[in-house]
Amino acid sequence: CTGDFEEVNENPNGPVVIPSHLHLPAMIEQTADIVYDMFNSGDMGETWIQHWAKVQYNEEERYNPRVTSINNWWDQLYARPLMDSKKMYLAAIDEQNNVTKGVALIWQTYVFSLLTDTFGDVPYSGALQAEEGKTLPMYDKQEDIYPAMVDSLEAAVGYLAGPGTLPAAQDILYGGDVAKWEKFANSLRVRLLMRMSGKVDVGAELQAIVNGGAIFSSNADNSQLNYRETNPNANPVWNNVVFTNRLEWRINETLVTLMDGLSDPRLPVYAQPNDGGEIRGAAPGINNPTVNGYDYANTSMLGEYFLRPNTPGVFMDYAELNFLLAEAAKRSLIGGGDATAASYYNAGVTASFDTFKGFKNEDGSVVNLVPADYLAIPAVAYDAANGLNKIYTQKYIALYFQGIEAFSEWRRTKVPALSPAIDPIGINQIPSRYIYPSNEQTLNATNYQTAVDNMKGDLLTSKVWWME
Amino acid sequence: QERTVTGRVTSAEDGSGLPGVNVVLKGTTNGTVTDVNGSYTLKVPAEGGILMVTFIGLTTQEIEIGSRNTVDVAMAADTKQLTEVVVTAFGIEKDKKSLGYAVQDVNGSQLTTARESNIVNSLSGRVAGVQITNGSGSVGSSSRIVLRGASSLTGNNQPLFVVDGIPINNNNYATGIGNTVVNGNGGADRQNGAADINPDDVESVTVLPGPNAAALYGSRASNGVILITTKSGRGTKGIGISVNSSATFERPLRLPSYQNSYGGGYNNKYYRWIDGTTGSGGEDESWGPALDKGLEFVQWDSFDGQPRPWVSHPDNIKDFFETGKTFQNNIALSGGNDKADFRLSLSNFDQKGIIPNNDLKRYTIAVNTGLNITDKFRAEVSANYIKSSSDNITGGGYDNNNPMQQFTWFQRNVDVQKLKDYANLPLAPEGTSAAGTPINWNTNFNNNPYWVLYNNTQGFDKDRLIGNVRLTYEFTDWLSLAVRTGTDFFTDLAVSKRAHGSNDYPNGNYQEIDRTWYEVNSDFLLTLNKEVMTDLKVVASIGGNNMRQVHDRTTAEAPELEIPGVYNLDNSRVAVDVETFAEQKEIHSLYGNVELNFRDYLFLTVTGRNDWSSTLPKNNNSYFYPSFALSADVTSILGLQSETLSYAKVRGGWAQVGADTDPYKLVNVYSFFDPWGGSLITPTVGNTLLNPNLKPEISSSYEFGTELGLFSNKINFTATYYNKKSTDQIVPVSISGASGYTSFQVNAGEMTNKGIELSLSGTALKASNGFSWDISANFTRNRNEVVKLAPGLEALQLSSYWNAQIIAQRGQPYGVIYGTDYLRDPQGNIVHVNGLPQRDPSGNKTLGDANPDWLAGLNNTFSFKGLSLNVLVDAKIGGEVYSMTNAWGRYSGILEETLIGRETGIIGKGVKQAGTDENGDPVYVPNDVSVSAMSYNHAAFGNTVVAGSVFDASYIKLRQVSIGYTLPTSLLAKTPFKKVTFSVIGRNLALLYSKAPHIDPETGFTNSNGNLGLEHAQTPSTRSMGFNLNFTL
Repeated sequence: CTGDFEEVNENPNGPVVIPSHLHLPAMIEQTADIVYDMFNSGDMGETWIQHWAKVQYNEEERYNPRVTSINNWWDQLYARPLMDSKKMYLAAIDEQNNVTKGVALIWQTYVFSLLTDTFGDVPYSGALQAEEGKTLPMYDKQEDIYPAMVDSLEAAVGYLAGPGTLPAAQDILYGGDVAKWEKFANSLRVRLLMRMSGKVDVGAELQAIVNGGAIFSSNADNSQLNYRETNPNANPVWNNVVFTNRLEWRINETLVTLMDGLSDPRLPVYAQPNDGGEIRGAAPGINNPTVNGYDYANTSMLGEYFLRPNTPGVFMDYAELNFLLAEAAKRSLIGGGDATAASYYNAGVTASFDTFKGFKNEDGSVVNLVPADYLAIPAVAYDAANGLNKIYTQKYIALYFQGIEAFSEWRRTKVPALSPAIDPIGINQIPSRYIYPSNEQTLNATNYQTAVDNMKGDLLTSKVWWME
Repeated sequence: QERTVTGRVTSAEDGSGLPGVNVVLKGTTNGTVTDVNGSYTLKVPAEGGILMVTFIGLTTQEIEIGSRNTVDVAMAADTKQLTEVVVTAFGIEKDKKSLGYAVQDVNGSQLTTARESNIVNSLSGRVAGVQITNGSGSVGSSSRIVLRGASSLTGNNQPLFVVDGIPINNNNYATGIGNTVVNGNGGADRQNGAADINPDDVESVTVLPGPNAAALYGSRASNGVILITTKSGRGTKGIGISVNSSATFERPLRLPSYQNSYGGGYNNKYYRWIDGTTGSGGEDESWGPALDKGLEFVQWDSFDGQPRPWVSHPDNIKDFFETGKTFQNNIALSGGNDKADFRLSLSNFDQKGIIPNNDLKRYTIAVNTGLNITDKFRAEVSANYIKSSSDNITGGGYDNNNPMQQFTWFQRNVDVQKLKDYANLPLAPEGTSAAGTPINWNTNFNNNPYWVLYNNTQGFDKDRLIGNVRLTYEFTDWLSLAVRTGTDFFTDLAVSKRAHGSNDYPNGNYQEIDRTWYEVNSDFLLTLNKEVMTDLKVVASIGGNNMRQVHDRTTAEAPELEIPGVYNLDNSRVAVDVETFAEQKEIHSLYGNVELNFRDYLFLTVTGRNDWSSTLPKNNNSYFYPSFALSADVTSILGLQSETLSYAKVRGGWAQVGADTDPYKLVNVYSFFDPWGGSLITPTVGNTLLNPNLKPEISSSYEFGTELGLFSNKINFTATYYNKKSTDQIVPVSISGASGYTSFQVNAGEMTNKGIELSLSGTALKASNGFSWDISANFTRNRNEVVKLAPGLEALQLSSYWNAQIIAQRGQPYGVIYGTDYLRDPQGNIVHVNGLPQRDPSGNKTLGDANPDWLAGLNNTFSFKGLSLNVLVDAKIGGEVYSMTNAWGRYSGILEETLIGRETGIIGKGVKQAGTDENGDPVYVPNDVSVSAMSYNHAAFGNTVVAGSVFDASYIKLRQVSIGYTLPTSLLAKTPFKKVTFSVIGRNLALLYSKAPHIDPETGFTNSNGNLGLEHAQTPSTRSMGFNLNFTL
């Protein structure tokens, strides 16, 4: 009498298995949605490194992070795109499709890098194994994760050679262009190697990548999700700020001062005039901003370019790669010395300027910034004596809007020098990481404790390995 | 030799003939039923014999026939409550004496005098072992009912509702855009399914708090059963018409106490209204200049741009509420004779809420008929058709669509009457979140609350049929077969609209949730009822059931609308987002039941049931669960004949219940994330890892108790102790997200509930002049413990709200409030830095328990001639609630206590650090740093520190007062009326005792587990007063 039970209990609401390429859209879109969630990259990225400041609800900016945001960041990255990438990887093996296998591995590595950069030690080799019955993932030390991620990217590039195919429709990042995936993998490797460069000698590997030439060569190679004009595929920043009218994120006084000092023409792109018609930043992390002189009327909103539904969600761009390579050259990790550093530096600034080229503001004006004029300004022009400082400063400016990456690179370079929030809560320095999600203390206590011991505490101020 | 006895059975009360009464020659199958006039004719042996005359609710009579040919019988109501019959499955009537477990009844008339829109609320305070939490005063809010504590970590924990033997759906389905689950972040709460039952059609409600009835009702009965028996025409004298009409009027029971001295803003010297363009105008707090001091400022309603007097509007929030109106009308026609009986009832429920433009309507048609096809063959049909609808149920929680939410941030200088005239107000300017909609006191965070209520609506239309067809055939007087099939079927269309300019949906939004749900139960029961030997009677039955449940839902959303005001999916300016969902489940069962009755004073009942469920894996889908119960009438066994102790019963029982799970908990499938570009599908992994090796959940419990009748049964006392343990629970336990899933479906966890239930009822006073005073009281104490969770798991989060969580923590009761605390010195004093209280950085703490220590109800009825006064008080003592109304109200400066220190500053009570001692430990001295009231309240309240807003949730409520007058029969003699009663009624009249400031501590966002112990901006609970008129023809 239970003959039809299996049929009755067959779930009609979704497939049990899918081909590898069908994983791509959700995996990429969900990653971008999390990375550009204002409560992560905004509150615990852009405001901490003082690209932005909030004129209301600024507890997070003042180093009192919201527990749910941290929990989300962790859970969503692991249990969504990372798990999708694992499923994609396994499906690709079944299909003997090396190309989608490589793409899955590249994506997995990128997402892991977000996690380890924000937390430090995280589950890596033991992660994503709930289906194998392992629900208490051990943490890996960041110093072990980093080399493993670099190796993964190298392996992934190998897989991209085939055999296999990458359908254009599902590849919402590169439209099936495998060569661009290879450039992304190698560019990401440069980013990771540079992050390690204070700890490990990475010169030879960097040089090999540069010599290989399969790295970003223009903004057209940028790894970015081109969000669409309408929901549900609109940029979450637009959703947060414009669509639901949360306008408290403003440009930061610190950044305005810096860019004003350099006569940086990107400033009017980065921010809109206040009610008084000028660009004015809000003070970093001040208590009761509206009472203390920084309100909605007298501070500047983010620029129009960044508040569009289709503002791209950038994972890594050509400008950043150039600044990384400029630094590598300056530090002699790759050859060429100051001349090469200067050339990468100029290319980085130019790429950043080009990002906005042709953007049409609502008033009809078209953005047309001329990098050559800017690069001619003495305070901007590369000079060997202040090479690193200039490279870092320009990267800091160029990474505007990319809150997570900007936070990581600032922690590594500490340029420009920043004073902490005016009214900090609990700590009196800019955080060095996120604290672990509250769930880990209860759900994965033993492994959590091991990581905390290794990190010498689970504090906002505990340093991650590549910072130390 | 035979002879014929004739006679008439009449009512001892009024002498009228009683139809449908069983008249049987004792010890034989020879019997008959009285006709419409109460007359009967029966062939009996030439000599002797005893007539047994029986009827439900009347005292059974045994009459020696002797040599008479005419035997007239006058039957009186059975007042000996302890020998009441209880209707169990298949309408089987059981002598309460025989039951080895606790059972309590509520008569239908107790539910209809002073009525609740939700029948569940009517049970508050009336029955031991029952905890009821009415979420809010919103029309159509849900109520949570739990018997003997929560026993499931993630299941619904509410009892099974059974109407005329058919299980019905008691779920509540939220409406509201983006919310398939209502919680503190929005969505409109909907009534739980049982609220569709119209109290006028209810004959009685029987509460079976324990799991012993599970053999008959299946696994779902492990949380207890609420048996609802609807009225029928059986026993009606001829054709009767009864009419019941009531009108009640509702006002908020309790509103927060607001300060009235300071207006909006952040500066006590000046106020500057900002129209909100470029996102300015975000000042929604109340730390501004003093009111009523002759100051003038440009304000939101300075439409001419000129300053207006800065004055207070002390009743501005109170005046926002309208007087709720509830009209309920019922007319019922019933009749019967010895062949057939019927009852037809029509009801109309029409409610307007205290929130403007909120309503709830319900029409019910109930039919109940029985036909004796032959002497041995009876057919019965009962059906309830319920059509309910609402044009708008206001949203709850932290949501633009909840007016209460913006009142947490309101300002005393705002004239709500001006907001009310929203149609004639200028529009909020471009660049504000309210752009294009009528101006609001603050254009940056909220739309005009009246505009919201009339434009952003969520309504529904629900059509529901609950019914069954039952055939019984008596092969012999000791063997019968019953066959039945019944269904609970409904369709529900919930519609949510957001107009252009809504601050959360600037381009509008429209959503439809179209739901079909049905459950069909078909069963048979073969019953043997025989005296197998002298002194030993046996009732044995075997039965089988087939249950099939089907649930389909289509959710379609137009995320943005092209043409404003056209609420149609085709008007979407972007791709319509459609989601379909379907599930079904089937359970097959066989069960048996044996009751041994020794001399009518010792009873043993043994039951067993085996289920096969489609939801469990093939090799684990069959499970058996037994129970037994023993009941002994000690007074009869010992032959005690005492006025003082007139009846004493002891009982005890043990029961085990196995349970399955929801469909599709075994194999993971991909779900569909938002399509990319409107066309590209985006399958993605789920967050819960399912488990193909699940096994049934097991709960086992034992209980024992006593029922005493004292002073000739004038006072009845019942006591029960129970102990329930639930193991192998199928729960999605949270696991580290780093494992790839955030939860894993396992059989884990153990929870226990131990408690006592006491009830006392009786006549306190019965004077010779006709005055009487009846009391019934009950007391419930339940102790719940989460004994263990999954290995390595310390706590399971049930929900979170801002920085608070409701969790199930090992070693704690189910549902404790967990969150951030103040930083404290070793003595527990709050540590201040620069005069401000600090948050403890070391993490979360358990700050309270959502479970009460005990519950009690006291019901007094005073009667004198035709007058009757009923007063019901109930109490819930102990337990805590996290109140965000308090947290934000103090943060925003609108509550009364924020006046403290406005001019002088506040020196927070507690300590500050003054250096360190020789060991390097901090030294604390009393805090002496004064800070502004605003700074203090911002630091101490709001969402930063949970501990500051956790309050004792105890309350005592004057739940009901009704004064009824029944016209004397003599007055009606010459009218067509048989009985006329007029009552003045009141429900939820007063909060007699409460420790939580500003709120009614009986509160919840919905009736689900995770909403325990959380409060924020619910529609205030209501005090209801009105009239009830009841007459019969």
